[in-house]
Amino acid sequence: MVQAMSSESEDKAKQQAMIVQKERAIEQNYRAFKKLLPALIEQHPDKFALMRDEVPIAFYDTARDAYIAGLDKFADGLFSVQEITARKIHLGWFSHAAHNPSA
Amino acid sequence: MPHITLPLEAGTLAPVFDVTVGYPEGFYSGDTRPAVLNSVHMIVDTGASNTCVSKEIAAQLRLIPIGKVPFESATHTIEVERYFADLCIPIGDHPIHIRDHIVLQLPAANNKVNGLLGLDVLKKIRAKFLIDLKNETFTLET
Repeated sequence: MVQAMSSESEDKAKQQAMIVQKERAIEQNYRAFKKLLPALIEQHPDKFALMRDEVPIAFYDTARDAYIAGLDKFADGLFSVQEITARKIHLGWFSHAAHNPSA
Repeated sequence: MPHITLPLEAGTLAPVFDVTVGYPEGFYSGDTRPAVLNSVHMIVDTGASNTCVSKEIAAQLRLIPIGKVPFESATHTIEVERYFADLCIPIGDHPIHIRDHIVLQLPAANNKVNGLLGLDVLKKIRAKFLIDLKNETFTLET
Protein backbone atom coordinates (compact mmCIF):
# COMPACT_ATOMS: atom_id res chain seq x y z
CA MET A 1 0.00 0.00 0.00
CA VAL A 2 2.74 2.45 1.06
CA GLN A 3 4.81 1.33 -1.93
CA ALA A 4 1.86 1.94 -4.30
CA MET A 5 1.34 5.44 -2.87
CA SER A 6 5.02 6.24 -3.21
CA SER A 7 5.03 5.02 -6.81
CA GLU A 8 1.95 7.14 -7.54
CA SER A 9 3.55 10.27 -6.12
CA GLU A 10 6.74 9.53 -8.10
CA ASP A 11 4.65 9.26 -11.27
CA LYS A 12 2.98 12.57 -10.48
CA ALA A 13 6.33 14.26 -9.84
CA LYS A 14 7.71 12.82 -13.09
CA GLN A 15 4.66 14.02 -14.99
CA GLN A 16 4.97 17.49 -13.47
CA ALA A 17 8.66 17.67 -14.41
CA MET A 18 7.77 16.68 -17.99
CA ILE A 19 5.12 19.42 -18.17
CA VAL A 20 7.63 22.01 -16.95
CA GLN A 21 10.18 20.83 -19.55
CA LYS A 22 7.57 20.92 -22.29
CA GLU A 23 6.42 24.43 -21.35
CA ARG A 24 10.03 25.62 -21.30
CA ALA A 25 10.65 24.13 -24.76
CA ILE A 26 7.50 25.80 -26.11
CA GLU A 27 8.51 29.14 -24.65
CA GLN A 28 12.07 28.96 -26.03
CA ASN A 29 10.83 27.85 -29.44
CA TYR A 30 8.29 30.65 -29.48
CA ARG A 31 10.92 33.32 -28.67
CA ALA A 32 13.08 32.02 -31.54
CA PHE A 33 10.07 31.75 -33.85
CA LYS A 34 9.10 35.40 -33.27
CA LYS A 35 12.55 36.54 -34.42
CA LEU A 36 12.39 34.32 -37.51
CA LEU A 37 8.77 35.14 -38.40
CA PRO A 38 9.38 37.95 -40.96
CA ALA A 39 11.68 35.69 -43.02
CA LEU A 40 9.45 32.64 -42.57
CA ILE A 41 6.40 34.56 -43.81
CA GLU A 42 8.25 35.22 -47.06
CA GLN A 43 9.47 31.64 -47.47
CA HIS A 44 6.63 29.53 -46.02
CA PRO A 45 3.48 31.65 -45.72
CA ASP A 46 0.50 30.01 -43.98
CA LYS A 47 2.43 26.80 -43.26
CA PHE A 48 2.99 25.27 -39.84
CA ALA A 49 6.54 25.04 -38.54
CA LEU A 50 7.65 22.09 -36.44
CA MET A 51 10.11 23.61 -33.95
CA ARG A 52 12.79 21.77 -32.01
CA ASP A 53 15.59 23.36 -29.96
CA GLU A 54 14.61 26.83 -31.21
CA VAL A 55 14.95 25.78 -34.88
CA PRO A 56 12.16 25.22 -37.42
CA ILE A 57 13.00 21.79 -38.75
CA ALA A 58 10.12 21.17 -41.18
CA PHE A 59 7.02 22.85 -42.59
CA TYR A 60 3.54 21.37 -43.04
CA ASP A 61 0.20 22.39 -44.53
CA THR A 62 -1.75 21.72 -41.31
CA ALA A 63 -1.04 21.94 -37.60
CA ARG A 64 -2.23 18.35 -37.26
CA ASP A 65 0.36 17.07 -39.77
CA ALA A 66 3.09 19.04 -38.02
CA TYR A 67 2.06 17.75 -34.62
CA ILE A 68 1.88 14.12 -35.74
CA ALA A 69 5.34 14.47 -37.33
CA GLY A 70 6.60 15.87 -34.02
CA LEU A 71 5.15 12.93 -32.08
CA ASP A 72 6.83 10.53 -34.53
CA LYS A 73 10.23 12.21 -34.47
CA PHE A 74 10.57 13.25 -30.83
CA ALA A 75 9.51 10.73 -28.23
CA ASP A 76 10.38 13.19 -25.43
CA GLY A 77 7.62 15.54 -26.69
CA LEU A 78 9.94 18.54 -26.55
CA PHE A 79 8.81 20.27 -29.71
CA SER A 80 6.19 22.80 -30.72
CA VAL A 81 4.10 23.80 -33.70
CA GLN A 82 3.85 27.43 -34.79
CA GLU A 83 1.66 28.90 -37.51
CA ILE A 84 3.52 31.13 -39.97
CA THR A 85 1.16 34.05 -40.27
CA ALA A 86 0.87 37.71 -39.41
CA ARG A 87 -2.87 37.36 -38.79
CA LYS A 88 -3.97 38.54 -35.39
CA ILE A 89 -6.24 36.65 -33.02
CA HIS A 90 -9.41 38.50 -32.04
CA LEU A 91 -11.49 37.31 -29.14
CA GLY A 92 -14.50 39.60 -29.45
CA TRP A 93 -15.91 40.57 -26.12
CA PHE A 94 -12.96 38.99 -24.32
CA SER A 95 -10.53 41.23 -26.21
CA HIS A 96 -11.94 44.02 -24.10
CA ALA A 97 -12.40 41.97 -20.94
CA ALA A 98 -8.97 40.29 -20.92
CA HIS A 99 -7.37 42.94 -18.77
CA ASN A 100 -10.22 42.69 -16.30
CA PRO A 101 -10.74 39.10 -15.06
CA SER A 102 -13.87 40.10 -13.15
CA ALA A 103 -15.61 41.19 -16.38
CA MET B 1 -33.37 21.46 -38.84
CA PRO B 2 -31.28 20.54 -35.76
CA HIS B 3 -31.29 23.40 -33.32
CA ILE B 4 -30.94 24.38 -29.69
CA THR B 5 -32.66 27.24 -27.91
CA LEU B 6 -31.03 28.79 -24.87
CA PRO B 7 -32.03 31.55 -22.48
CA LEU B 8 -29.95 34.70 -22.84
CA GLU B 9 -27.97 35.30 -19.65
CA ALA B 10 -29.54 37.99 -17.50
CA GLY B 11 -27.44 41.14 -17.46
CA THR B 12 -25.13 40.35 -20.38
CA LEU B 13 -27.81 38.90 -22.70
CA ALA B 14 -25.11 36.52 -23.90
CA PRO B 15 -25.83 32.96 -25.01
CA VAL B 16 -23.82 30.40 -23.05
CA PHE B 17 -23.49 26.80 -24.27
CA ASP B 18 -22.34 23.74 -22.40
CA VAL B 19 -19.89 22.19 -24.85
CA THR B 20 -18.20 18.92 -24.02
CA VAL B 21 -14.44 19.13 -24.48
CA GLY B 22 -11.91 16.36 -24.24
CA TYR B 23 -8.31 15.76 -25.14
CA PRO B 24 -7.95 14.46 -28.67
CA GLU B 25 -8.04 10.69 -28.41
CA GLY B 26 -6.87 10.30 -32.00
CA PHE B 27 -3.38 11.59 -31.23
CA TYR B 28 -2.68 9.31 -28.33
CA SER B 29 -3.48 5.78 -29.44
CA GLY B 30 -1.69 3.52 -27.02
CA ASP B 31 -1.67 6.20 -24.36
CA THR B 32 -3.02 4.78 -21.13
CA ARG B 33 -4.49 8.05 -19.96
CA PRO B 34 -8.22 7.89 -19.35
CA ALA B 35 -10.47 9.89 -21.62
CA VAL B 36 -11.25 13.04 -19.72
CA LEU B 37 -14.29 15.01 -20.74
CA ASN B 38 -15.55 18.20 -19.31
CA SER B 39 -18.57 20.36 -19.88
CA VAL B 40 -17.33 23.88 -20.58
CA HIS B 41 -19.57 26.95 -20.30
CA MET B 42 -18.81 28.63 -23.62
CA ILE B 43 -20.13 32.01 -24.56
CA VAL B 44 -21.12 32.19 -28.25
CA ASP B 45 -19.11 35.05 -29.72
CA THR B 46 -19.18 35.82 -33.43
CA GLY B 47 -16.58 38.53 -32.81
CA ALA B 48 -14.04 35.93 -31.73
CA SER B 49 -11.90 34.33 -34.43
CA ASN B 50 -11.04 31.30 -32.31
CA THR B 51 -12.58 28.92 -29.81
CA CYS B 52 -10.97 29.00 -26.37
CA VAL B 53 -10.95 27.24 -23.02
CA SER B 54 -9.57 28.54 -19.74
CA LYS B 55 -6.15 27.38 -18.53
CA GLU B 56 -7.85 25.61 -15.62
CA ILE B 57 -10.04 23.59 -17.98
CA ALA B 58 -7.03 22.78 -20.17
CA ALA B 59 -5.19 21.52 -17.09
CA GLN B 60 -8.18 19.43 -15.93
CA LEU B 61 -8.43 17.85 -19.38
CA ARG B 62 -4.66 17.39 -19.55
CA LEU B 63 -4.59 19.13 -22.91
CA ILE B 64 -1.02 19.34 -24.11
CA PRO B 65 0.12 22.76 -25.33
CA ILE B 66 1.47 22.64 -28.88
CA GLY B 67 2.67 26.21 -29.24
CA LYS B 68 1.86 29.82 -28.52
CA VAL B 69 0.11 32.65 -30.27
CA PRO B 70 -0.11 36.39 -29.59
CA PHE B 71 -3.54 37.76 -28.88
CA GLU B 72 -4.21 41.49 -28.75
CA SER B 73 -6.56 42.77 -26.09
CA ALA B 74 -7.85 46.34 -25.97
CA THR B 75 -4.81 47.42 -24.01
CA HIS B 76 -1.92 45.03 -24.60
CA THR B 77 -0.65 41.83 -26.21
CA ILE B 78 -0.86 38.53 -24.35
CA GLU B 79 0.77 35.29 -25.44
CA VAL B 80 -1.53 32.33 -24.99
CA GLU B 81 -1.13 28.60 -25.47
CA ARG B 82 -2.77 26.51 -28.20
CA TYR B 83 -4.00 22.97 -27.71
CA PHE B 84 -5.66 20.27 -29.75
CA ALA B 85 -9.02 19.16 -28.35
CA ASP B 86 -12.13 17.22 -29.31
CA LEU B 87 -15.40 19.12 -29.03
CA CYS B 88 -18.99 17.91 -28.82
CA ILE B 89 -21.67 20.53 -29.42
CA PRO B 90 -25.17 19.61 -28.20
CA ILE B 91 -27.48 20.58 -31.07
CA GLY B 92 -30.64 18.59 -31.74
CA ASP B 93 -30.75 14.82 -31.31
CA HIS B 94 -27.32 14.27 -32.82
CA PRO B 95 -24.57 16.25 -31.11
CA ILE B 96 -21.89 17.52 -33.48
CA HIS B 97 -18.40 16.12 -32.88
CA ILE B 98 -15.36 18.07 -33.98
CA ARG B 99 -12.09 16.17 -33.69
CA ASP B 100 -8.53 17.47 -33.32
CA HIS B 101 -9.55 21.09 -33.26
CA ILE B 102 -7.12 23.81 -32.22
CA VAL B 103 -8.38 25.76 -29.23
CA LEU B 104 -6.67 28.65 -27.51
CA GLN B 105 -6.15 29.42 -23.86
CA LEU B 106 -8.79 31.92 -22.77
CA PRO B 107 -6.92 34.89 -21.29
CA ALA B 108 -9.66 35.66 -18.77
CA ALA B 109 -12.34 33.46 -17.27
CA ASN B 110 -14.84 33.62 -14.47
CA ASN B 111 -17.21 31.22 -12.74
CA LYS B 112 -19.96 31.72 -15.35
CA VAL B 113 -17.88 31.44 -18.49
CA ASN B 114 -14.77 29.32 -18.95
CA GLY B 115 -14.74 29.07 -22.71
CA LEU B 116 -15.53 30.82 -25.93
CA LEU B 117 -17.25 29.35 -28.98
CA GLY B 118 -15.68 31.32 -31.81
CA LEU B 119 -16.13 31.79 -35.54
CA ASP B 120 -13.80 28.89 -36.40
CA VAL B 121 -16.30 26.37 -34.97
CA LEU B 122 -19.42 28.35 -35.88
CA LYS B 123 -18.31 28.37 -39.54
CA LYS B 124 -17.45 24.69 -39.42
CA ILE B 125 -20.93 23.74 -38.20
CA ARG B 126 -22.57 26.32 -40.55
CA ALA B 127 -24.44 27.93 -37.69
CA LYS B 128 -27.47 30.16 -38.12
CA PHE B 129 -28.73 32.27 -35.24
CA LEU B 130 -32.07 33.63 -34.15
CA ILE B 131 -31.90 36.15 -31.33
CA ASP B 132 -35.28 36.77 -29.74
CA LEU B 133 -34.96 39.74 -27.43
CA LYS B 134 -38.69 39.70 -26.63
CA ASN B 135 -38.41 36.30 -24.98
CA GLU B 136 -34.68 36.63 -24.25
CA THR B 137 -33.76 33.44 -26.05
CA PHE B 138 -31.05 32.48 -28.49
CA THR B 139 -31.51 29.73 -31.07
CA LEU B 140 -28.62 28.13 -32.90
CA GLU B 141 -29.51 26.08 -35.96
CA THR B 142 -27.26 24.02 -38.23
